Amino acid sequence: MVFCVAMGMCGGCAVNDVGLVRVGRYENEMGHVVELDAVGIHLITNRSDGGLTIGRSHRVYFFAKNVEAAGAGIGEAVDRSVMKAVAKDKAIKRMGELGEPMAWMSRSEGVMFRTGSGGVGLTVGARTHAEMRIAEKFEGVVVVYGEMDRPGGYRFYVKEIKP
Amino acid sequence: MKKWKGMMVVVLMMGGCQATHVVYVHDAVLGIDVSPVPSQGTMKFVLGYDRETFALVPRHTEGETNKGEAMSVTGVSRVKVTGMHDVTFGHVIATGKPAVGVAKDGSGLKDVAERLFEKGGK
Repeated sequence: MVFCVAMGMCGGCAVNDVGLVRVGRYENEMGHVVELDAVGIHLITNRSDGGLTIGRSHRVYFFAKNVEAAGAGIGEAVDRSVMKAVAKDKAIKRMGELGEPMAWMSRSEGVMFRTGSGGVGLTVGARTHAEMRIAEKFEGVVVVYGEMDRPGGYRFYVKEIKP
Repeated sequence: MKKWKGMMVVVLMMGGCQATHVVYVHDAVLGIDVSPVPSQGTMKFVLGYDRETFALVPRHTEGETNKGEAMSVTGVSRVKVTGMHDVTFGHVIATGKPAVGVAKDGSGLKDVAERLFEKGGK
């Protein structure tokens, strides 16, 4: 723990995907995945996973962008859920412009203050968290798949099926 | 069916609390964790290791015919955790009317889950 805090003090500062943070971006026609890996002080400002980490912060967010994309339902979900890395020269939205994530995964070491949807809290040590939230009014199919140790292997499919 | 061990098949027609979302959560802490529990008016304190994995299904808060009833959800989930670092979080979830159709077509859901969880989407 002392090591993690020392790392935090020696590292940099980042707010969401801005600052000293490694950022990976993936997308398909239905959503974005933003992967963040920071050492130092990392502030997350969204309501779902808000908080401050001093130490190591590794996070993956799944954002829906087009829930009404053409599709037939669950049968095609796996094929169409593949995410592709976004080219570095492509104009992209910052994480703060993407709204609230539908799902997220995080792994943190050090000191963590959290203020997200799960409530406020303080952790000293290590914490892993994964969460998916689907609104009560949503009627459709959602596929979310991610492995923290396999960057780029993310899958995301969201299709609203209206009667 | 042993290979499906660790996979949670959810066909829920049950009530949750006052939540407005279907929520799937995995959380693990190693160290010290302090957080308030507003529903009980107490504090939760963890020293050491604590892990929880759960789902919440809300009741409908609007509508004349189904207000108060639990939301329809059909899905297959896999949360695989090795230590504190290696976390796999996977879900195939249908809600509302599509959940009813998916529940009736068990082979379709099984096929999707097999391809996603067992074959890496291939």
